[in-house]
Amino acid sequence: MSSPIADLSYRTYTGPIEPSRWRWWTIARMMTALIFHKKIYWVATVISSWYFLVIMTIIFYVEQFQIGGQGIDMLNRLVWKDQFYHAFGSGQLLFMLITLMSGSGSIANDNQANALVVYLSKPCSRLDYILGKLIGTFLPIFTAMALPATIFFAIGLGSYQRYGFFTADPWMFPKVILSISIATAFQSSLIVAISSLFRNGRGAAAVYAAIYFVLTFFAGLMGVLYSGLSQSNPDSPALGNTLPFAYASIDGISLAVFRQIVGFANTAPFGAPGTQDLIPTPPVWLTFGAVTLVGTIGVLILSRRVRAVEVVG
Amino acid sequence: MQDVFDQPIIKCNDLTVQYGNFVALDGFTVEIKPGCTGLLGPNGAGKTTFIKTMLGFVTPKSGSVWVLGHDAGRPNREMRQVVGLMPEQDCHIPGIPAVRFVAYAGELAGMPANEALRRAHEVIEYCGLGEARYRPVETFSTGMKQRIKLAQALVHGPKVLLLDEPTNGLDPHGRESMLKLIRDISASRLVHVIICSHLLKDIERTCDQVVMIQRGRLVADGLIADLIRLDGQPIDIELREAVPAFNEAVERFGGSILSHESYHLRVTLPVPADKIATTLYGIAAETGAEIRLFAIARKSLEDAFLEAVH
Repeated sequence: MSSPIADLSYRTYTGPIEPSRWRWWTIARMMTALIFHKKIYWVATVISSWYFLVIMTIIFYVEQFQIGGQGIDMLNRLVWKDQFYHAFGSGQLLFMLITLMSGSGSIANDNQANALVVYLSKPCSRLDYILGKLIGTFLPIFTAMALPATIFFAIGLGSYQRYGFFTADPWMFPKVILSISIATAFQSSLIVAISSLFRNGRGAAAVYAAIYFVLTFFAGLMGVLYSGLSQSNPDSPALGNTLPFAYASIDGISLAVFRQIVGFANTAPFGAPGTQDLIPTPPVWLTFGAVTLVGTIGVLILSRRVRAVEVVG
Repeated sequence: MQDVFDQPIIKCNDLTVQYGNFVALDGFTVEIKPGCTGLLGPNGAGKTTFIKTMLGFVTPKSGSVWVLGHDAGRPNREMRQVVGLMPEQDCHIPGIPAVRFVAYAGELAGMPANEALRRAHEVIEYCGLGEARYRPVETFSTGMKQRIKLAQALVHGPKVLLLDEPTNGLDPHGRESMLKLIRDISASRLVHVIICSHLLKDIERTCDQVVMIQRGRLVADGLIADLIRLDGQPIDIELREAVPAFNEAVERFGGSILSHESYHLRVTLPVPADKIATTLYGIAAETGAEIRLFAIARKSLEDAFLEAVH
């Protein structure tokens, strides 16, 4: 009787090696998979789409129970791009939480675990690492923002065409996706840059959240000031100076990008009568200038912070 | 064929690396031959900088380093494809189990995902972590962390393996098994191993050759066997009991007693190397001495190191 003899000696790897140009995708894929495996991410994504759920419920009941002429008037009055805008705006707090979930530990946790040396000792460049981390943070945030919008668009395409859903602006959906992409890229570069400054994901999350809330509070104050000024003295030169600060927050810049690309007809949420606000959209150059500036600063921080670390004590 | 194995795996020519005004490597020139090599030197000698330069992490001010024919002065993927690094400090990708970590390291080196996973299982098994492959690395003991670092360095089948303090923090049993693993890897002749360690005994047990660095300069290099050899072919002898007649007979024969502690002697004889044993056993037979130990006398690597650096 014979038994197999196990060869326990060291054997090298002689299998295939893939081209190095996709190394950043390996990093991004791993990051994305880790986030997608978290239940809390999907819970946050579903909650962030509450506006779409509510508007679809309203439309369903109006259609189902034929709530008189008023109900149908409301549906005909709906400006669909504004519904996307309201949904995007109402989900910002949850998008911030998803951003924290996706990006705060992206580099900080690697710094804590000395993982950078694993990446950089492999045939993987700093550029691959930075790009992988940015894309790996971008994808979950983008999915959380774009998935509900895509589902709503698909339902709208099938069910709301008689209310001008598609005919009002056939390019509406690509514009929505483009604006979500830019807003996500802006938020991703910021959170990943902040993450690179820390050796702990919680520290990075705390700083990002602090920046978010302080700027949101400041921009809110400026918005109130702007609204007050525009009602009391619409010709005041101070209005022009105040306007940019009303958008000087992470949400503000994201919403300004959405307004610039998709447009906003100033209607109230859920097709209610009246207008949404009195604060106009900031100039194009200012909106995209802010996005470019923050993105550039983020990339500069990353290129300075992501360096080969001590490999020998 | 012999020529191929004699080709240096690492060639370092007049390498100078500076951090501001501090010269970390000063005209460092060395050729590392295939096999297992120990990198020795006191703290601040430049070992760290040498490893970093080999990996292309730092750019030299002048000179060049070639790793298996790849210019390490210019960081390139081809060079890192053939090098595996086991760093001194703990390192892992947070939030994933050991097998996924090692497979991910393989994917970073360009292995297709399914191949990387298969190979990860193989190297984890080889490194003795088969039972713990699905546990997160964060929960590993020090010894297991050392092994998983070795596994991630080996996963892509490097040709040069850089091990930085591989036995750091290990208990005697763990240290012994780590050294056994390193010896096995080195003995496969599939990987050239470079070990950076302050534990001279570890180097002595695993390496064929050493490179000694001090203040950024090469102070000695070569085969350990050559470095610890003593001039004049001295022999260490242990007698069953001290026999003064044996000592006298050795001196009468033209030899000399280099050291003498009770029944331990270190002697030299003016005869060819292949005749020494016969001559000494002859003298012992004549004088009634009983030789219980006969060995070619050598320095310890520690003595060789201290001689070289002082």
